[in-house]
Amino acid sequence: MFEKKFLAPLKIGAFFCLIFLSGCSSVSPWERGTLAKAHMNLQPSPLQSSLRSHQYGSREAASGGGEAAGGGCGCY
Amino acid sequence: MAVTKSKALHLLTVAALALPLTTVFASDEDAYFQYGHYEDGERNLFTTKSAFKPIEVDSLQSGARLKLSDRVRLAFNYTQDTWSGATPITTALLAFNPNHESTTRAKTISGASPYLQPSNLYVDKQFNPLQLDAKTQKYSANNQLVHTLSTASPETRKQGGIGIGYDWDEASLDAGAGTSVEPDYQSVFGNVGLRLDFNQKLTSVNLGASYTASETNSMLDHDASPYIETSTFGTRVQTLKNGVKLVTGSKDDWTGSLGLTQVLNKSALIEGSVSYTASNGYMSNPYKVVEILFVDPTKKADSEGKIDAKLLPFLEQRPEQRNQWTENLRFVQHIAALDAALHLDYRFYHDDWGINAHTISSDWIQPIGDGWSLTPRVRYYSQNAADFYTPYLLSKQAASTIKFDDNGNITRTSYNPKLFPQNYSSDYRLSGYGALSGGLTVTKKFAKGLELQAGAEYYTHAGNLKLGGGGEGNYADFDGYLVNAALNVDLAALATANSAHSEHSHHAHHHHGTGAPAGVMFDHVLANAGDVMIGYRYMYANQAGQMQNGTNPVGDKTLLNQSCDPVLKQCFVTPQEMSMNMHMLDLMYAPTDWLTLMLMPQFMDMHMTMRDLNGAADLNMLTPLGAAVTHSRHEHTTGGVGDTGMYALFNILKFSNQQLNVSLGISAPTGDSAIQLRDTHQQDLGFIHYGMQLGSGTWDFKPAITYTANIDDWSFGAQLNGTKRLENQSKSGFALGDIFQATVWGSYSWMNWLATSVRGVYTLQGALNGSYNGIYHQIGAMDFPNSYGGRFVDVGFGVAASMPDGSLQGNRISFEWLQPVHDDVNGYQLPREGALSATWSYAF
Repeated sequence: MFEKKFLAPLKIGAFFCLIFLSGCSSVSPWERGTLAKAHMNLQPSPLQSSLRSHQYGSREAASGGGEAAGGGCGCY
Repeated sequence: MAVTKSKALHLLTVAALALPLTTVFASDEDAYFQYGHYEDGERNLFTTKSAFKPIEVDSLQSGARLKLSDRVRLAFNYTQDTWSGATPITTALLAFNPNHESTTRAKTISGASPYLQPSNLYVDKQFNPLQLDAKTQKYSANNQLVHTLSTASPETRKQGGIGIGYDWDEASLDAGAGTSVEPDYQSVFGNVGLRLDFNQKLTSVNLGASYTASETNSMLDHDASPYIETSTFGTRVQTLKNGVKLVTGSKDDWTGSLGLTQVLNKSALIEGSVSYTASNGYMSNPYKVVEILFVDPTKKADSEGKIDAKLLPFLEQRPEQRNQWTENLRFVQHIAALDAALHLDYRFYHDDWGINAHTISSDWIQPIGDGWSLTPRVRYYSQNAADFYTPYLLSKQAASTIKFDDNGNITRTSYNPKLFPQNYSSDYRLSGYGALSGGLTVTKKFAKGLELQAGAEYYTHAGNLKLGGGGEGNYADFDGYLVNAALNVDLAALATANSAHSEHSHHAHHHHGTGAPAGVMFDHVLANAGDVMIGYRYMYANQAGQMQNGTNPVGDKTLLNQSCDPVLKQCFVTPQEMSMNMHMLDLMYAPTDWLTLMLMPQFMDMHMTMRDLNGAADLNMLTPLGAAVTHSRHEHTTGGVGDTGMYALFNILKFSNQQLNVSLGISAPTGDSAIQLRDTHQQDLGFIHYGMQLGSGTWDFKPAITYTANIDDWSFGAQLNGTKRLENQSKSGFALGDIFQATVWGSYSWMNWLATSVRGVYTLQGALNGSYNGIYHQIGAMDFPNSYGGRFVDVGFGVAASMPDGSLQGNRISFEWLQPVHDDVNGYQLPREGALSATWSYAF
């Protein structure tokens, strides 16, 4: 039970760390033109995403994406 | 040369480094508006039928983000959802016929109640439910499950939030708070977030924490509650004096999150985050019940092999504690050959209710030139069932036993709740299933920072889509779709574009500086071909106080005898308070310099409370009229999309300080004018009161003529406008009265950015024509077509501010309060208490 509860997140966390620590080349600030494009934003449509999250949240058990927000019930 | 190059490089580096990685792409200052609509498809009910309409949700979001200084950011947001329609109240056995289509009225059924507790139920020795075949009159086992649907009258949730942020060179701190209110659920929340940049902003760390406190106060359905067992719920369920059962509970959620964003190379970045939420308190859904099938093990099967069984519905019991973990991974890759961006998101969710869920989604954002982009999207979600999920429960005990003692006295013993599991829910959202969705979004970015977006997504939920199989049966499958339309205005980009613009040509923006009071529309046209103006209008109006007939206040006795049917003298209730909120988008575009086109979509919600008239006859609530009167003791609400206005504005006369504009418009009946109350007390309540409908239901002609003049710091205006219904009746059978309005105003500019105004308004509106063509119950004055319209005089006091310079240059906000001074109403109506108008507009 302990393993099921706590180890799975840890393993995934370790996986993230590996990704971050490996394969990152240094990108100079003036080389970030592509990264600065609107469609390269991690959250390109925040308004649409919030509507979708609300809809998924009222239809699925795994609500929220871990972002700290709050909100209503939506319990129809 | 080398020195220059290095200096330029240094300056570039400094400039680039000033941009935080995670927020650089989003504008710091914008205003936004979004409309969304979600609708469930029909559910598979097998051989049973329910004519309830599936649930639909209309959502409205608006907000703005502004900069108070270089480093201080401020954000406001507002969200409103209105929903109505049917969702499953429980999962039942098809053998017991759990849904039923009314024979008296094809459109809806009366009450979920009889179908939660059917009688004459039998199981076989293996506890399989037995179904009677109507033709052969024989019983056979049928284990098929099916949802029992229940429906709700329209309900609205409103949420408002505010946020403040501070930016350092390599860090930012954000804090926010808000509240969400709906009739049966309230919550308040607060959050903080910290971003730290490292490694020349190639790496960012995000820390977040939030707290939410929620309260449930939910009245159980009149029809269903007598059939729902609440005895095992202890003090969570109280019975009020009027017999209504109230479920109360509170909940606290604490969330902490940690995220890391990393630039991988010139064209890819990744973000990983983990979050943990601890929830404590009431987490059950008060509108979901679990059927418990009682079979007395001491009972023997009869000659046909049937054993008596009893079915009782219980409020679901979820655990009062939940620990949730989420791990997110987001990856963005630029595809140089197509200038596209590929977004891949994965989320793993895990909680101590036994649910593990995987979500994977992919968006491909493809710019196709001229500011357009297309985004196809797919998403897959899969979860396994919660430990306590069960479609229904089998309890091997008698639901109740009756014993006679030697003296013939009866002792009744009920089921023993200790033999039930501690927690149980048949909510399909806690079952094992998968969900697949796909959609397409179209975005158009205009020059000067205006962005329009429209998207659609189709969603399908199925037990057999669960990862690894073993999902819930196909009775729980459903589909739905979500559409959205959004408008985003980049205020910073607008200001830049505008200041560049005004350097080149002295574009006539001065008339926006004064302008008409907030409650006046159609007062100005755009000066040049290609000009665009976008705006947002909000209006609140309220009616309350002592009822009036004409100009005279009237008491309950008159209302009782006169305000409904003067012959039958049948009046039972009177309106106590009515309010309306209206949100309007104001989109103007000048295709030529003599014509301005205007589109005005509306979103509205209405509230109404009533009270019993003193001396009104007491009605049996199981009669249609009695049920309508009983239901009127609840607040009635409606909300959703209103009518859509389309206008053409012409400038017909123009002198240096004066102009005369004509507006010709059509209002399309996009608002619902056939809203009905849900059935209650097993009675069909039919149409809601006329004034609560969201639209006129008819195509309307709306002309206006406006004169404006400016003399030094003074400006004056006058307008005549009207609304002429182009049809005699809507599909519901009635038409609103025509409207004529005359208004005159004067305003004075105290400073180049601030003006105040005074206005007089005369309004004449006709009574309703025709009446509802379906079932409705006339219980008070508001249900009679002649109690609408009248002659009204108001005085308005307004204030307007326009930003002459700075980053918000060109923005104008205005407010106006309309104070009623004379009400001469048709029939019997509540007097008006006043109306507030607020507008924001931006022309460029």
